[in-house]
Amino acid sequence: MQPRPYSIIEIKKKAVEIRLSILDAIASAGKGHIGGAYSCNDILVVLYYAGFLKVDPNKPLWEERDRFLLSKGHAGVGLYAILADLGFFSVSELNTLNQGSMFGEHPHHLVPGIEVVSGSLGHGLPIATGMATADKIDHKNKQTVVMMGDGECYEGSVWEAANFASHHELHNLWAIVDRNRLIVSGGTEDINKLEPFTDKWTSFGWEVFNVDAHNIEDLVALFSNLKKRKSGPPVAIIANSVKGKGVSFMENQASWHHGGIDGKKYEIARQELMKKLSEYGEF
Amino acid sequence: MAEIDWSAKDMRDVFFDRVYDLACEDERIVFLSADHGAFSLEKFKKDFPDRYINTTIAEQNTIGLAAGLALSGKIVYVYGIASFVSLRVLEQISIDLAAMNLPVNIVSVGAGFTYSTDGPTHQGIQDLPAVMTVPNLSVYNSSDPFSTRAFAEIAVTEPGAKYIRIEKGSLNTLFKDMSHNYAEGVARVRDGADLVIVSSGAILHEAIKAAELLQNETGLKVGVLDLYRPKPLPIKRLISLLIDAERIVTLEEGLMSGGLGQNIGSCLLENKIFRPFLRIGIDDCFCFESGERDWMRAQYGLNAEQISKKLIIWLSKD
Repeated sequence: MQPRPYSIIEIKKKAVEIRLSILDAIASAGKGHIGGAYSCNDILVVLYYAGFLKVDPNKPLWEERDRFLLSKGHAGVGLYAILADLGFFSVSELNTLNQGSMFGEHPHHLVPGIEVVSGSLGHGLPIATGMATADKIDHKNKQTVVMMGDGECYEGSVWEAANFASHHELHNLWAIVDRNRLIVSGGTEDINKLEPFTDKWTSFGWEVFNVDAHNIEDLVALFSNLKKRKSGPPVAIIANSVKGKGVSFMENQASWHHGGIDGKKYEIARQELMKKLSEYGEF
Repeated sequence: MAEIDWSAKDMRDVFFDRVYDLACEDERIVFLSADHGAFSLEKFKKDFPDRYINTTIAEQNTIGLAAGLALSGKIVYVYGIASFVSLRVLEQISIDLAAMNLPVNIVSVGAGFTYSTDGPTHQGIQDLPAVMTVPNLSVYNSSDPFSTRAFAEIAVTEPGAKYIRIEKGSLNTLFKDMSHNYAEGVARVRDGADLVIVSSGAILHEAIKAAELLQNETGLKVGVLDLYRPKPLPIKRLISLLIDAERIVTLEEGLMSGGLGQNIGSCLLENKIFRPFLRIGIDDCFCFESGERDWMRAQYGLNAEQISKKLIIWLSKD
């Protein structure tokens, strides 16, 4: 059975709860990609809880499902946390991350709800393009959504797929780029410029939307409008985000791309998130 | 009905005519071409325009696209030049196709020195060693019209990802008809056990000629095996065909490093079959010469006369 769509306030609360789950899973694992999981967290929560993705936790391979591909596989822990919460598998399994289980830092298709193997960057958009092409051939009204990192867009394969998707007018394809402006070594614009990023996607023939990746209302409004499209070019959503969003000392810090968290830092992070959660109250 | 002259046909037409027939019966079949053509593809394009896509000169996207199609229930053929649909996209083959065991068939043209006048970028001498490192991937190498036709069908009937080499141009028949069971992976195409040459693909025809020359020269009975499915190596069948061999030689039109000879040699040793063993192929090098295929083969000691002479010298050291 498909989950019921959440209200805005419920989504906001869920986004914090998922951040807490990610924190606990990474603390339990000893290490993980927390910065990139937090930067795309709000978008993933909106997609899964506001009814924009047609999925059924009891039937992960349901033929009529929409497909979501986490091409930036290093944010896998964030997707695991959502899938566990939705019931694709149990929360206790989530906490086996990196500890002798199927749950590694980069996800694969053997985990219920995960569509493809990811981790090496630049694979998701070509595969999503194939899925959208198949749905177009079969006249199926399904959505394919791929989430990429901005650093991933250095990969040439992304642009091979971008060119193909626009030529073939894959209106049923949304590519979301988590534009947190940081790669492992520092800022994208200092190291190897991605700007003018919007122009690049536009010049490849995509309809491009810029959005605040942490504004739940804006995200819901954007996806609601996009769902009405029945033709036209593929859609690129440049989601301007903050790496490590939600925990003050992690925000905009490339050093929180990957690592462990324990002791005092874990407690501070948890307190900050619990405080945020309390702002939404009980409902 | 006039009998078909199989050895007069271009192997691409043999393969693609069969793919066309299969596509008539099975709507799941989708054909992707990396901007590579063949006469027989025209009717596929014309009759199934939704299921034929020229993915152009973008091989990484082509393999990912094939994966996405296969994840949506399609059976996919991907057609391109050997080096570009193997080495250039090895990671995509591994992660996007083989890891998820998807029904995608990479149809590779340009084995060995097929495109020998196009320089080292177009030679198909490293593709087999590369793709043979990929788990879950089956590798087929056609050596005659019947195996070529059979592999077009195996692409649909056998599950999982496959790398299928077919020839540009014609090949003489080695098998009498389509009756051979291609699930065996290897077949004896010439009798003889004093020395057995194991080869694969178009170069196998040089092995047969070399065997005749060697037999005439030495009186030894020289057999030839067609290892048309190098991966997974058909170990039991291969051993059963080699158990009586006095000497074993491998012949490949490609790099020996990571190639057929290494795999066969390891298989023999692990199964305690200890025989005088020789690999013939291309050493660890790039081939910068440019000339027609026969000329290129001669530069690397790969024509029948050279192979026969090399074996006579090798035998003299027994």
